[in-house]
Amino acid sequence: MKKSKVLFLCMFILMLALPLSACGDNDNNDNGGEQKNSKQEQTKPGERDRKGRAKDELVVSMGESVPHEFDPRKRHGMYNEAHITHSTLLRKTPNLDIVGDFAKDYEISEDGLLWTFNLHDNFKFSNGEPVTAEDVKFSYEMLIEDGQHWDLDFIDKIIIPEENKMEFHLKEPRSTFTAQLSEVPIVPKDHYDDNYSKNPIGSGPYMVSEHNPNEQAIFEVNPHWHGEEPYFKKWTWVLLEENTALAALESGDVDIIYSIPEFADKEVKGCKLFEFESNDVRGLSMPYVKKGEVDSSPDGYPVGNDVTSDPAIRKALNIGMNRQKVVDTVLNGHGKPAYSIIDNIPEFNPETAIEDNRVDEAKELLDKAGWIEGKNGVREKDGLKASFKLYYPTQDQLRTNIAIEAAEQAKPLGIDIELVGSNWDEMATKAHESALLYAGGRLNPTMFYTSHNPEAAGRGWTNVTFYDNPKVTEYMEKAITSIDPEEALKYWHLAQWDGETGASTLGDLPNVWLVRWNHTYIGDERIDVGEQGIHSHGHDWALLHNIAKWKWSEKAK
Amino acid sequence: MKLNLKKKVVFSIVFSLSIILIILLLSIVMDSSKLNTNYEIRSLAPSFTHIFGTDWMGRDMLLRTVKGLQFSLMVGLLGAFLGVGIAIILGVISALGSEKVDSAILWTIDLFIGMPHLIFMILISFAVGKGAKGVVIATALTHWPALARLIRNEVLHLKNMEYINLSHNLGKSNWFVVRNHILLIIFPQILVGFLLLFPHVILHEASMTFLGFGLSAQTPSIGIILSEAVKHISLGDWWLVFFPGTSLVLLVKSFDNIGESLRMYVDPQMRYI
Repeated sequence: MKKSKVLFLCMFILMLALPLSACGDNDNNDNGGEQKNSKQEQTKPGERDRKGRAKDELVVSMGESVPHEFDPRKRHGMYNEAHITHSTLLRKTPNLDIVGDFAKDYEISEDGLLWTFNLHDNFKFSNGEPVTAEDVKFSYEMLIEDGQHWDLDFIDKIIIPEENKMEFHLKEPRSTFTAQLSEVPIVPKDHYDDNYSKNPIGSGPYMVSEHNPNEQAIFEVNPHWHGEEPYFKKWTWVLLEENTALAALESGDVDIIYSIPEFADKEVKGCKLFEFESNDVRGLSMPYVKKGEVDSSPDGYPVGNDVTSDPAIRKALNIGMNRQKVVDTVLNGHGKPAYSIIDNIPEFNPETAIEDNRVDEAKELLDKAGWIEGKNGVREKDGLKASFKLYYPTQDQLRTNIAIEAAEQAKPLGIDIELVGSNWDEMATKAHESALLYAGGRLNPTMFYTSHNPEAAGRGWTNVTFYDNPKVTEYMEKAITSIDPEEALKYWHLAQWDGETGASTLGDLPNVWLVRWNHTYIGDERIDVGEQGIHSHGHDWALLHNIAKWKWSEKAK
Repeated sequence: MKLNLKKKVVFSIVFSLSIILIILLLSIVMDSSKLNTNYEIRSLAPSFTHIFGTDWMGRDMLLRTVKGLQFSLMVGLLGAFLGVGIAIILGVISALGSEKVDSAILWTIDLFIGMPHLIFMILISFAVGKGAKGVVIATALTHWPALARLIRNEVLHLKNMEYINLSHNLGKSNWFVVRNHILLIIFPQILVGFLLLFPHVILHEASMTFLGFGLSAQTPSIGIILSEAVKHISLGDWWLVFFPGTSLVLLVKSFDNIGESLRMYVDPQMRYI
């Protein structure tokens, strides 16, 4: 018995101590400055204390780990983060126009099969070695061979005809190739290996001077950077959990943090809310095939779900859910309803942004499809309950909350969503037979292509639902192999809805997309984060992608 | 003196019982279908309409707490029941069986006690497939060893008593002796052991769900409530931690009280003070 007494005593003390320690941090804002030495900046009265950090130095906290860890094989670059530490062949402007980066200019042959690039000769890696066409060739060929996350199979061969020039020969035209060209980070051929994450070498404005996966990553200006000198000479990403990060922001140890929606409206002295619209969507992935239809995934995981594979179930959820309520409840209003993985970019078909919260219509649809309400309000069809498991990562509070809200909204429709708290390692094994609280959103349509392409089924985090609609595949092939951008756009729209079918809320979408959330950050009001454009998936990197252009500005308030 | 203590004990038992009964009653009366999110009443401090306040998704914390305690009670009951069952069986067999059986059982008891309790439970809950089932099985399977050893010693002590030898000599079977002579005598110990196991099990259930092993986020459970509240602690919503935590402590303390009081009551040395 003694043990339990001690236990609850500990818990009680913990309960009392936690709020106290959180409050304690608030009070130090005004009277800090004891630890300063003469070199450090002085805090003027009434100003936010930054613990004496120089103005050209920043400390940020965007989560407990550095996602993708600088390695393109771990998807680094896919969400717009490549240009901090790396160069790419092309790059996107905030308006999503494509301009050259390591490539001075480029030319596409009339049949769309030959892309020729003229390269710069003044790019250098952070170790001083020049960036060459060989490095580019290596970067792409390495990813083609890896074949996990980057869909680059359409590249036939890469040729270097002369110095500072390269040719990409494609198997078929590719309207979305510019997307990968502006995302694939160029890695040094001679220094890339399995340990690249620990000691990454790139040719971007910053170099990683220290990367300690449990503590922090320190970025310093790349001494060999060819472009305009960044304002911030050094910045540190401290790896903190959200609560600790907020406390560190209040105490002045950190300058800017990403904030989960619950924290977004918190007032911190000398700080303001940075809010940016995104196409970072959250929703459910719903396995598209019945059990047994496919033996197993390429990785050997089970495939298929008898409930989610029923189009009526997916449709009922898509029209019956109240997306605005999810935004209000879970996101504190910091977001918008979402309908597609390519929501909010030109390739999105606005027709498919349907009116939702049509509960009666959804019920009728289920009745007609043979799902009759049984005991406890859960529908049944031939003895099969309208019930499926929804896996969500417990570490991710946002996804957890959305999962709770989704399960609750499905209940009145007669659909039982059983929540299973999990982690990504386990979820990877369940992705094809259960629903996941899924996310996505890149600034180009490739994710739409890979998510609905039967050939990508079960490969990495691409077509996890084993979606296969021949008509959609046909439109997508037409769109992706189109040479004319206008035509490509037309086919992207048709792939979502052609009047009869499509991968969208109107058709047989293998997802129930719910919200795209505004990326919210709380940070010192004097930070000028430059021109941001629309954010893609990845709350962490999204704001930082142009940190080389950030400034410290007393007027930015 | 004697009367005073007796009064005290009775009062303590009645008080604790009434707390448990209130929680039980509330959990039956309150309708869990009202456990809905509602963005209009998010993060409200305690008031008359929401005595325990509401969380950041607009759920009433009183309802969540009561339902969580109900789950705790259920797990506690199951865990304590199974624990006592296993303890009686193994304790009696160990005391009455051959030397080999005895040392095998003692070895098992040492094994269970020797392993870090929480880690052992996490292991078991993973092995049987997580979820509520995992929590229940894990707590049920790990709380018997101390009580088993106690019962073994009691029975060892009893088994050489003259009346038991007499009974054996009269040709009664082992089973008859256990049923009629031994269990009856050690029943008070069993009852107290059962009651004292209860808070132990409940606290372990809460710590397991607090650590995120087992229950899904929509299941009302004190452990989950507390772990969620910790994630929002920097917002200063103290009521998310305070009320559920206090209720848990109250519930646990109530069982503890009843157990301790009863022990005092049945303890011959205390009884005649």
